[in-house]
Amino acid sequence: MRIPVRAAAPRSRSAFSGGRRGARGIPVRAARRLARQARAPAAALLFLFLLSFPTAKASAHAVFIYARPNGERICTESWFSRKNKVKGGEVRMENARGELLASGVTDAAGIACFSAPVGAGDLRFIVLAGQGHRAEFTLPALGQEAVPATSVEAAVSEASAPAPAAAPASASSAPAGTPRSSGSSGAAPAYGVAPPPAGGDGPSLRDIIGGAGWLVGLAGLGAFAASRRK
Amino acid sequence: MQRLRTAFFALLLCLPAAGAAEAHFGMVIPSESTVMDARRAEVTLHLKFWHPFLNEGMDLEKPASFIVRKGGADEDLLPTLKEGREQGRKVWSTTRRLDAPGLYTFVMEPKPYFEKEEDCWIVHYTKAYVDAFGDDEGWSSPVGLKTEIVPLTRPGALYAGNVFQGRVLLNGKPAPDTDVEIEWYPGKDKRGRAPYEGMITQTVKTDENGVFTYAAPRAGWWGFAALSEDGTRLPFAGEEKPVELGAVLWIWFHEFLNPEPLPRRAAQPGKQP
Repeated sequence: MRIPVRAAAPRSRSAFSGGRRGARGIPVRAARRLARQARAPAAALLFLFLLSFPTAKASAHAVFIYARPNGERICTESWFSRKNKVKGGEVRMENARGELLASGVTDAAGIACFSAPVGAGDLRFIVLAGQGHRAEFTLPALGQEAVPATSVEAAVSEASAPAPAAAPASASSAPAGTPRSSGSSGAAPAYGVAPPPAGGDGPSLRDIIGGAGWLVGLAGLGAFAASRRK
Repeated sequence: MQRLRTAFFALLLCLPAAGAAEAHFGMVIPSESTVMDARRAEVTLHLKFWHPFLNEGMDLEKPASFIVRKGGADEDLLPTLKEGREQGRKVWSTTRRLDAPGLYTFVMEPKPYFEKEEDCWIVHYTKAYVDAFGDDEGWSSPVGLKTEIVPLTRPGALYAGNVFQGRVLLNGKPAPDTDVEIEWYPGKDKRGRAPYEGMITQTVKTDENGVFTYAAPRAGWWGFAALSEDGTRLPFAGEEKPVELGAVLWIWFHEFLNPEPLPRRAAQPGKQP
């Protein structure tokens, strides 16, 4: 706040040369106006500063790693966002049994490369990016990159239930994202006119007692009004 | 007998209304909504013209175009499309391996379809996203279609019950007061169940900025079709007919998972558990 007031003071001083002067020789009214003017850019700066937080937080909360063969090497890339790479993060290359084969450190572009081990099968790459940030990626052994091809029909069925990405297997009784049939039996009626819920739609005992209470109350009000008329 | 006759004619009168309750949707349904496992990176895309909720098909002629956009570059997938049949209807499919992190936007532009009952042409520009290996940047950018829904909510991270917001663009500008029809797709060999036919398709309207909001009640694929007209006309049987432009977007809503216990920490040496 001090810098814009002081910087702007000489420019505005001539307009307020006859007024009361405050500290540093600036007229008080002019200083107040300048302070008000200075608030706008300061507020804008503060706003921009605050705006930058969600981006920083969003990118800082998730880290990712991807690996691809590159000639006789395998190169990994680790990032928080497209513009924010993991710099100086530890990357571990493990086999399917979890044995460490090699480790490295990411460069300024988030890259860490390794010599491709021969006959190691699936490889797991783990990036440790500080503050508990950890991500892993499994590079399937060469020639096993894809699951067996599915038929169109099967794939359509699959499309209704994509496998959960890195979801814990024991997390739920139902697989992630699996849309269950809304009916318990396969044969849905036309437009699936749903049967009434179990127990029926009729009034419960509570409803009946409540309704009777209303009737008694209204009768009481009526009697009260009639007695007043007399 | 008189009553039976009356009931029969009443039923007959109801039938056209029942038919009108379901909406046509262009469909682009990927076999994966998100790819994090390299073994599942071979994604199959299914293209249909369908009534999704009731899972009733119509023929889809070979689209005018089918592309995938990644990082600003378009790849033509039209030559890779294979014709197939589902429910005896013409459908199309292809596969695309997602070989690098990024957001893959699949876009189908169908050939105009003439709907006799509505006496108009229908063109549904249909879009679906698949994000791969943790990179979905660019999800809020328009592709540049004649009409499209641009997400305001990150499309690759939605739970059932979440609100989804999108902005409808028509010729690149926000489309206010536009109907957005919404249907759930229950998956192959299934059909949705609704209390009555009016609830098969839900509708929301866009506000003055072309923005609409919807909360999906359950997991699965949800289709959003923003319908508008811009005065475009096409000939049919010697007459100029209006064209219904549809901006269709398919979004996957995930089921919210139950929590699981924290993993046990290894006991530190010298410390009692």
